[in-house]
Amino acid sequence: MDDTKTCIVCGMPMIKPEDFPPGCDQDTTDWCVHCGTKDGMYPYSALVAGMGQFLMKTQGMAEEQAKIAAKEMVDNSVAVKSGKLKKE
Amino acid sequence: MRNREKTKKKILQAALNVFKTDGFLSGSTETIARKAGVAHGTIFFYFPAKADLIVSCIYEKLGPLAYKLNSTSRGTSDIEEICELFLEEIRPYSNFYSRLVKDLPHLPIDLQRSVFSSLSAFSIHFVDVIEKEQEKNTFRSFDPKIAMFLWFGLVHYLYSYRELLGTDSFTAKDRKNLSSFFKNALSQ
Repeated sequence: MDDTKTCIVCGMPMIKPEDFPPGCDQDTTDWCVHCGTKDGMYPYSALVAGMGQFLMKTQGMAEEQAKIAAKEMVDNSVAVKSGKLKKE
Repeated sequence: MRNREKTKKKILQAALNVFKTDGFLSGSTETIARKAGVAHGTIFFYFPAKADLIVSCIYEKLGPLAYKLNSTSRGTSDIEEICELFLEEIRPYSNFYSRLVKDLPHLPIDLQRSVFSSLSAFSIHFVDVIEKEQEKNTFRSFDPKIAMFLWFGLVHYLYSYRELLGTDSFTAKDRKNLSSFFKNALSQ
């Protein structure tokens, strides 16, 4: 488990090549296919919106609760805390 | 290991033991300090509030569990198999999971969100498989989240009443029967 890379935005384990953005350098890319492209992470607002949709789908949260949880998750992510992702 | 890391680990281990027996809500920092062999105030040097200690303990256990659930359910296209895997993977964490489902509703909501989010990596496979079965018309048409509520409702019932029901004594056949019933309930 310790050697597995996890997405610095959503925390998804990046185990298989398809977990990474297509065409990226897997050694230097710290975000998953859902959180960015080979050129970089999606903007903060898009990541929060995407995370909200994900939580609605995977946890069955109502839209408003999913939005709150998504913002909290992204704000507490390594990406934001390390300053790699700027809050808008 | 440096002394500070050692002390932190000692506190965390003591907290895990105390929370296991007394629960996250009733387990006191005084007891944790005593079991860890440190002064009460020392705990707050490493964990500013009891909530921080609870979070660390939950992640100590939930991290490996979430990872296992994610990696074993990946690539599985049968909901019965996913359900069986879930029941199988949480068995070694039985005591912890039981405490978690009993205490989580009473813990702060941001902590509840973190715990649920940690299990998302598993849930996404669960939902994906249901959607694919619905596309093939092998499952009835319903919002997949309802199936998820039903599944977690069932599992949390089993673990909330773990002692009463003897959930730990469930055999592989019992787990298969539950998973099979669940799949049949969703099927056309």
